[in-house]
Amino acid sequence: MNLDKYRNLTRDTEFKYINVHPIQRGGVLTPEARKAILEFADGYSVCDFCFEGRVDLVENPPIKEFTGDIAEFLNMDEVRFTAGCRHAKWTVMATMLDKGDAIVVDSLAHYTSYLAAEANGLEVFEVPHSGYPEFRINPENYAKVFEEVKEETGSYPKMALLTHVDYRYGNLTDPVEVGKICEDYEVMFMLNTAYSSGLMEINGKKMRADFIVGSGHKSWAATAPIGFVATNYEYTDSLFSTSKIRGRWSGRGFTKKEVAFFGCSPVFGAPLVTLMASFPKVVERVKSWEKEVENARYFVNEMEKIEGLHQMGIKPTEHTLQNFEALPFHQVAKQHKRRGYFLYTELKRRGVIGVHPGLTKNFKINTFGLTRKQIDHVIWAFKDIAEKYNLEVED
Amino acid sequence: MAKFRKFFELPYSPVGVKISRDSLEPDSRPARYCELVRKASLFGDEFVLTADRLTCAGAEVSLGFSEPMFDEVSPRLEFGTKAIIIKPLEKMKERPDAVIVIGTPKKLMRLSSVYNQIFGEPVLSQFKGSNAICGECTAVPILENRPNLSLLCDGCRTFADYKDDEIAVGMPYEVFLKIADGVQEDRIIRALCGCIMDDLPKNAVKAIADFGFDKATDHFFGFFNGQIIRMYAIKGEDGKVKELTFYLPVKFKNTEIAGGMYNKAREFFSEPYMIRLRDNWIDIVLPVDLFAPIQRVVQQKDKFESILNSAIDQITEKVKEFKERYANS
Repeated sequence: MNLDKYRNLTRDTEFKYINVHPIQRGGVLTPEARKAILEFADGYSVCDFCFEGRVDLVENPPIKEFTGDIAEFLNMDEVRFTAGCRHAKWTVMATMLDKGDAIVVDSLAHYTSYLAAEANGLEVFEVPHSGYPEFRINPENYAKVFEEVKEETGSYPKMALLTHVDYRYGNLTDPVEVGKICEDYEVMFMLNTAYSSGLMEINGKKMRADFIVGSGHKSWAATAPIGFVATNYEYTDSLFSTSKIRGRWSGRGFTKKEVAFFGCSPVFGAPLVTLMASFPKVVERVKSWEKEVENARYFVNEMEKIEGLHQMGIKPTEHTLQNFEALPFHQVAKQHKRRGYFLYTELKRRGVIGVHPGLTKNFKINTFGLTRKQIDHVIWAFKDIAEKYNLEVED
Repeated sequence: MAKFRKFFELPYSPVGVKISRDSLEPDSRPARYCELVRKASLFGDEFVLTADRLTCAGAEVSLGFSEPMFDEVSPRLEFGTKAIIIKPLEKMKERPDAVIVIGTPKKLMRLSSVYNQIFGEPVLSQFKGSNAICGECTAVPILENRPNLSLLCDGCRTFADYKDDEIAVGMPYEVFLKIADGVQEDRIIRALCGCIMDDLPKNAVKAIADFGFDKATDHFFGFFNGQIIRMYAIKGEDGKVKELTFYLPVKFKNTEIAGGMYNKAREFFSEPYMIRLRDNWIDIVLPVDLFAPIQRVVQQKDKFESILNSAIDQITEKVKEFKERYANS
């Protein structure tokens, strides 16, 4: 076994290049988080003063208060940390639903939504999208699918899941409308905010969300893996139910430990501390969301000046995540000795990374947090590459 | 190696054995050959077995350490073996003469099936319930240059701890290599990533690609008549694709101009065309009914290509007319 490959691991992505990676922009650490991570890099670093046996109850550093602050920030009642948004979804399904129950999800939901349902033995029903080029989820179709579920199973589904912003096209679907429908049908409503909370303002009660799940490493400038689940008092006892098990022989009990979170969520060090350290900036940055969208629209407009580049999904874009189709780049790739990797290489030479290596037919880009100057540089890089390969670029 | 084990879900390593006609320093306690093969497979142990450490008379003859004294023993390697190197294959630096794989009947059935796919012949099984690992799984593959499946022998099961539900196959190293190369991790390669066209029938995807479209993650597109034509396969409520839509989005300088042209486009394009305003783009959409599931339609190549050609010609021509009429607007 050669262990040398594990020594001196480095990554200079954020310092050398402009990174437009679709899943990384919202997870770039703030300077405060980078400082904190050095302080709390050790495994169980937040457990120095753990008196209650649960990470969410630690008072120094102020994690207990932090859970309350996040709940307030999302306008929900209680919050717990999880090992990512996927764990949060699994937790909600595992505690609130029974095997065989129906759950309705949007058909652009993240794969982890499907897998969480599968792991919990649920029956998944999908709300269709509109297909190319918008791939829009129409909130009204939730009601239609609820009726279909009733027709097929004899009762309405117990839960509906909406992916607030989908990962394929960055489409934003109105949760208020879905929330109202769920309320009318008395269906529990889970909102997946992996690509929204931490970037834009989220008002859980206004959205009528029973459960909000989110991703710290995707959108809250935190180190992976960390996510959260927020709920209202109506569901806290069920979702945060504590252990009742007793050792048959030993009589041991763990009544403070919350079952669905493995007793104490496994985010004891860097993930949680970076989430906390970035929180003040996150609270501020969501107020600039409109500016982010404005930048994104500017970016799309300039990118579409390149022959054949076309942003798919809802237009004008409502998010910083874009999916471009780029047939002319693909045509170049077919002739290029580096094939599809040419675009990645050419961009990197121009100081831009994040477009998936090998992709040219269509690729995703996220501009969240980039300055207009950085965005201009990315645009220049694409246009320069296009001109190099004799593609037309509008003035 | 890992690929082979993973594919056939083998908990133990295939074992490589190398017959040495030169004397080697023994590196094992006194044991049966089949016992050492099993230990190498299970625990990753490595051995050099010589005649003086071998405790099974049958194996001594089968492996060529000695000649039969009273009666012919078959199968057996030619006399002259001085030592046998026995190692789990992943640790073997020498080129083995044979590879022995221990597994359940179900797993070795799959292996046999893959062998048949690659070599076009069945795995033969020559066994008689004695001299199994030594004769049937080592000597036969070496002598006959083919795999041999064995139900094992009493010695294996009584003294070497082979389980009741285990059998073994021995094969030449070259055969092993071909099988290992042949078993791509199909379940991963064919795995679905959540792309929207994941379940489009393969023959349809091929027919569309043959026509000249490129497949993006969620739609098709290609250059036709000097334009980029997008095509999307619409799935009906029954889950079947019986309709295709062709798209030719037209870009305008800004949203206001596109908005102004939108009304003109609605007048210009009558049914079956559909028009949609998206920011500074107007989507011109031509739906085409296939009247049957796409996997059936593509079976008639000429007819299918005629449908595509017709739709592409229609939409490009119509959009060209639109552009010409309103070029100065």
